[in-house]
Amino acid sequence: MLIKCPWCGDRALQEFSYQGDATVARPPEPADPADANWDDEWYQFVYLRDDPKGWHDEVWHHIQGCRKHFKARRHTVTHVIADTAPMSEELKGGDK
Amino acid sequence: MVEMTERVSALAAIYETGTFGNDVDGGPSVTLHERRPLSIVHIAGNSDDQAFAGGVGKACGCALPIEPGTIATAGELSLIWLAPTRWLAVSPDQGPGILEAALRDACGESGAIIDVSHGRTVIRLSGAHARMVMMKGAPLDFHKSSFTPGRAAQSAISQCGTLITCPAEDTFDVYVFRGFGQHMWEWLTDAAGEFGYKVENPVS
Ligand SMILES: [Zn+2]
Repeated sequence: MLIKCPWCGDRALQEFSYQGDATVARPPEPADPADANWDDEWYQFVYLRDDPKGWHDEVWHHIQGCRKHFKARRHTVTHVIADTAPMSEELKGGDK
Repeated sequence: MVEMTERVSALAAIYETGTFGNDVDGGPSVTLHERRPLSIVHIAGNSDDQAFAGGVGKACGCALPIEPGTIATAGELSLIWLAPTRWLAVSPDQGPGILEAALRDACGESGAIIDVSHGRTVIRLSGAHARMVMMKGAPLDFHKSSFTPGRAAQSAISQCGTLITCPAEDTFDVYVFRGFGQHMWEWLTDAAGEFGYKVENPVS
């Protein structure tokens, strides 16, 4: 299986490592650090993940290549990767 | 006066010149040697920063290669693209800290420039079957039309992170962290065994 690093191009899967869900966002800091809701938001941010069947936006790391992180839109059933992009750019393709 | 310690190759304990491996018609078709001594400097910076890019260009005598996987050269010095914002400058030994100082002087406050000469082991393979040995090692496209002279890629051989360059036709340089030097030497010579191989004296 080949994954297209946005910089290095098509490279073997073994050069990459999966770094998690690219759709979760770090909770904004609350006005009051003792805010109990913030604990819950962080609990969700750190631990809770959907388990989608279909297209999923993910963070991958070209760990044994250029060592850059990037985003990939992967189908969790077929493993087809519709698109990869630098972290600062939007993914295209799939049915999303 | 500080007394400088002598630089010792990571391969010193196992390095042996001669002809090894299968006895094939026409003689060995892979030649290996360690490249040493070298000056190797790791360079990090933003190529859009003119003080940085211009400084590196001035110190090295060639422009920073911007296209991924390419190498710029000036005489015996190579400037290798490693990753976005990362490069490696490599030349025959210029003396302790000389290349690093030249880069730092030229770049001023821009970039992060670190001498890693002692931290790398560099092995050169050449010959008719050198490309075959590389194909056995790393999951890269080593086709003659793809990994051509002037190309470089970071990948893995035997699970060790490596930088592989193609400085000339049928010639490959394999860079590893010094601590992986012996393992990489043993892996490459084992892989070259079927073709018969010759080990020559280290040269930069
Ligand atoms: Zn890459």
